[in-house]
Amino acid sequence: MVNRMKKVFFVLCCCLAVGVLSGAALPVVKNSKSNYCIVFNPKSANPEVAWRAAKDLQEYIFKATGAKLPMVKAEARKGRPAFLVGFEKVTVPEGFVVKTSGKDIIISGNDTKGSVLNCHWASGARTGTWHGVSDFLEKQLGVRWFFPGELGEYVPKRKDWSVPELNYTGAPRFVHRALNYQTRKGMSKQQVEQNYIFNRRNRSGRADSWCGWHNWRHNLPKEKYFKDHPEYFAYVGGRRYGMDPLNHGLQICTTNPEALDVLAANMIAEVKKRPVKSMLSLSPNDGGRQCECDKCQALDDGVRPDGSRIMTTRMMTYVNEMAKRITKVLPDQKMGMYAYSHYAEGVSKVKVHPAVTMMEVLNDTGLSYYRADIRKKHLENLKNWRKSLNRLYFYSFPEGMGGLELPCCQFNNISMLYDNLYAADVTGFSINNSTSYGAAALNNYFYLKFAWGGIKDKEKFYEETLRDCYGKAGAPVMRGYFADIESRLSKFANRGLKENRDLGYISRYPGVFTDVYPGLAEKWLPKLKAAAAATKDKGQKARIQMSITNLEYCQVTVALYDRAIKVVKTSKPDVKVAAEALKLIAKRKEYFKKMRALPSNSPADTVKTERNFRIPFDANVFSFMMAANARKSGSTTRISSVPVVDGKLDEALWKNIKPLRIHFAKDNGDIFKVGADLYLARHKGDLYLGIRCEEPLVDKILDSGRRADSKVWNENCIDLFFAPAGQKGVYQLAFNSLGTVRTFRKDTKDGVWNPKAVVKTFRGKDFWSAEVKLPISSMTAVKDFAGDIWGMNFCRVRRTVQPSEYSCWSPTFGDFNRPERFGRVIIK
Amino acid sequence: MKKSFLLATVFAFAFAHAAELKLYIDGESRKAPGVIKIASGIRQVPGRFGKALLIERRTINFFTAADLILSDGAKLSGKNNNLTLPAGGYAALPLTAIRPKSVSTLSFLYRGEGKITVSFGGKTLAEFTAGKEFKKGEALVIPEEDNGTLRIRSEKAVELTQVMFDKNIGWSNTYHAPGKMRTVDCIDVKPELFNPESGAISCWIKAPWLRKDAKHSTAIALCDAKTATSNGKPRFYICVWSNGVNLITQSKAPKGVSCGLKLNELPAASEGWYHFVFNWKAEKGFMNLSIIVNGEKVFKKNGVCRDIEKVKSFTVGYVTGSYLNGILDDFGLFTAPLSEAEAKKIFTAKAPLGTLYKK
Repeated sequence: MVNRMKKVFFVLCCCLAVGVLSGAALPVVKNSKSNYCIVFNPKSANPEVAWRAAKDLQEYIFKATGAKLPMVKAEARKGRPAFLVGFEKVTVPEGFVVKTSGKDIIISGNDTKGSVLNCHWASGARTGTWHGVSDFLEKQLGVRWFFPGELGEYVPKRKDWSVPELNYTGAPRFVHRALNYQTRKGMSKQQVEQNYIFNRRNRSGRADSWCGWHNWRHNLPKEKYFKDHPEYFAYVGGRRYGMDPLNHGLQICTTNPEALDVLAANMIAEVKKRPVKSMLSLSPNDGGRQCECDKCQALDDGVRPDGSRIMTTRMMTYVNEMAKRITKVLPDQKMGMYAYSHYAEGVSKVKVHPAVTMMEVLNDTGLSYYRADIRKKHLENLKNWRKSLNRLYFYSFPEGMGGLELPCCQFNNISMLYDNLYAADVTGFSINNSTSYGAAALNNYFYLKFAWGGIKDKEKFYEETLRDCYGKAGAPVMRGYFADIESRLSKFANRGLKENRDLGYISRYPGVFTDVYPGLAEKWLPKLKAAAAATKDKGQKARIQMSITNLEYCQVTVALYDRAIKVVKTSKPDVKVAAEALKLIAKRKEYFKKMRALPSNSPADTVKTERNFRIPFDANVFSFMMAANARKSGSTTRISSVPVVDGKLDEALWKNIKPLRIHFAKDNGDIFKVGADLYLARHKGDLYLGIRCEEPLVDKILDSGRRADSKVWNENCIDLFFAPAGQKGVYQLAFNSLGTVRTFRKDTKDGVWNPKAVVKTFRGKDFWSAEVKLPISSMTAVKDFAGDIWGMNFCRVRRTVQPSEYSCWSPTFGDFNRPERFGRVIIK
Repeated sequence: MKKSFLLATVFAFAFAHAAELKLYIDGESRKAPGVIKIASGIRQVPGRFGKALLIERRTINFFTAADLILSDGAKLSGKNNNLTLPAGGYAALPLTAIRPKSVSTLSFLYRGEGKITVSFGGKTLAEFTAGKEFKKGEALVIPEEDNGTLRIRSEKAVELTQVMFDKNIGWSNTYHAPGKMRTVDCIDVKPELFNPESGAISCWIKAPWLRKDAKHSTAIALCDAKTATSNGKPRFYICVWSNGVNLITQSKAPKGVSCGLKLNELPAASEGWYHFVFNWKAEKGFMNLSIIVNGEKVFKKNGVCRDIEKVKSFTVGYVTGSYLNGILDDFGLFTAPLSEAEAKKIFTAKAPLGTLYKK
């Protein structure tokens, strides 16, 4: 009997021992109390990483359970069970290990020296340990960080908490994961830090540095080299092009070996100066205007339907030449470059140097990826690139070049993008999403989650994300709201999209104001407000409210656009409508302030975006319309003798004509300090125009276009528009300061107009001037035109300053060619 | 004699009525009892009975030399705007600030040879064939846009005179020299003669707008009365708008009561003359209005009307910027409404009001 009892006791003890040894859950917290502590490794590869990771553990265990675990040094733990952070060596780049060992819980990762919070492209550290802690908190405590800041996080509460036996590793699918443009000028230090921390907790980071900025302008600057070596630079329009109208820098002739020698030498010098070893960018400048010399063009891969050239092989040849030169001096140097614009197609006939990473660019995926044809083409393109490369990354401005803070949360869109990126073996992404969390909601969270990888059931993931982010009451409403947004964007995208190849973006403005957002607020505001009212959790409620504020802002923006079009696209603006617009602008500013004041919100520079896309939301526009001089009018002066057309404006007859002033900024009616005077005369069947352009920076006039096909509007130019009475046609005559002329008829398919005009220019000390003789019969067959009222506008582009100045006689609040905004001129 | 006496009694009885004739402007003279002033711009012209008063709106003749563009050989001169055009010549008037859909009128006298074409914005408005004697030409300008060029073009040599362009009016007034404004045409009357609670107006009107197909883009008015609290706005007025003749009274509260007829409801006119009787009577909180045209067509309306104030001014031929733009004859103001029978009597009497009623 006793023996039997001894046997049973022994078996029981063994079972207990086995139970402990074989992984029963570790009771970390009971009734909000714990005897665990946290120890981080002060001698790890980057102690700050270990410390921040440990701090997160402490903070979130406390928030979730109420138990405050002390952070202690290793030697002071006194046998207490502990979280041991950063003690194990992990070699997988950015990888981590999470395991239980006895009563301890070990979390460690691959960390490197460098900046911990700010994942800077050159100096950002690997933070594997922190990734490990974040992963652990998500899996074991259900913590989520949806947006930066405290109101962006979700921490389910419990009093008791046990950690099961664990032994797993993690590593990112994408070795480069970057969300850019998350912070802006004027953000508080706290907000900036919150953004960085949000990124890190969601596993933003990179195994290596990445650099792909537009480097030519820095390492072969025009100011230093163009004068003595114009042959280094792109041959455009029949000459080595020295102008930089859009301030992007000059493009280089990539088949000029001497130019590449100088560029490489400068790049090597740049890299050697850096304190930290990091990637070198080989990227050209933005803005098109690539070299048209025979050697460069001989390398091109063909011509697109729109007439532009495919320059992939040319650019990859350049890349290989540069890589050869650079790795000769710096054998380990890694290099990067963007693939976009005129070399977006992955059709290279040469294999790219193994030290080079290409980042394929497709902007506006937030719109274009709703198109099946674009998705298919993009996947094909990615795969083509992958064939010629060691490593391929991807880059996008998903909401376009700066958003306008309009609702755009797009899980399905992002999911489709990642399907293609995975399929093409892309291993890095750079997403420039400056749109605020009120507008983009969970987009940034999705980008980072997909980039890390590991989402097996997308629908489940989305459902759980919505539930945790917005609560039980909010989740179904927000799901419906986001689905409606995606449906509208999808329909818009599938109606047809317009691309700007030079700058590599797709036009979404102003179409979204008429086709996507009208009616959205009216439909969803009541539902969102009801959902917010029914939600008790502070964070969930705040996150719904962010979407409400943004939707109200969207509503006012749509209403403002409606008024803007009514006012701007007519020759007789209704002052009542202009007054309404001013009120909406004031209201919109209030919403904008509200959005910026919310925690964790980083709205983009919308004012700049509105200017870039010429959306007339500037209060000046409407104030101008309400002013008495909104409608420009004038008349030709009948002259009895004709001037000698030499550009000098030295005949007495010009002095007897009252000039029309060209000085209104075309976008908002501001008055430029430097303007031009135009004298308008008629002699029998000819118009004579005298133009005197003030120019205190005459020596900065670098106009060089002399060919018949020169893009004179990229230089200092005068642009004249004529809309004869009773006709639909608009005639445009433009010329640069050299007198090179381009003429167009704007209302016909071929746009051809050959008026037999005479244009001469002259350059003075502080001005340049022009005289134009233009036969009236080239614009109208009417013989009795005296007394007729024509629409006309006289415009100027001034390129001696940056940014360039675009001025008009009658401001158009948009492009120059706006007949409804032309002034009225009586032909006397 | 008995018969005559009986007839006279009946006649007198018929007119022995509560309606007393308080004011009578017959047009024969520029003065009348109760009339404070007849503006100097008002002229006497042949009327329904003897003379009548021509009341025209304040206008400017916009056909001026400064704004005109003439072809070679064309000439504009003199106070009468004499315009000579050679063969193939033209005069062009560019208009850069004209109200879309408004109605303006070009008028002139012409003689000579060949065709004269009037166009606006390239579209032909009217064509005339010139002869030896001066004839009247008129063209309406109704623009689609806010600008355009009015052009008079001649096939052969022609002579035009009294060329006038009147904005915002669908007929030509009497010729007015270019550039200057016609003076205000109205008749000021002693306000105490007008009773806003009960009364009638009887008058004969001949006007270019009194047609079924008249086009005009400005209000036309017969008379108005203002009170101390109306802040210069009329409380009682008879005007033409929305292509109809309207009698409107406005008490303090709640709103005005109006009675009107559309111009296309007008009966036939005799040599362009129409007889109007406008009646009003306030009773038990209601205002009863009626308009009787040519003694037969009757238009009635009533509505709630309270707190009718005494008037401080009464004007005939003008209501804040709107004018009669026609000839007014035999204007009578009564103290009470006239019956349909009385209206018919006045219309058919073929004698002026003054012989039918004694003040």
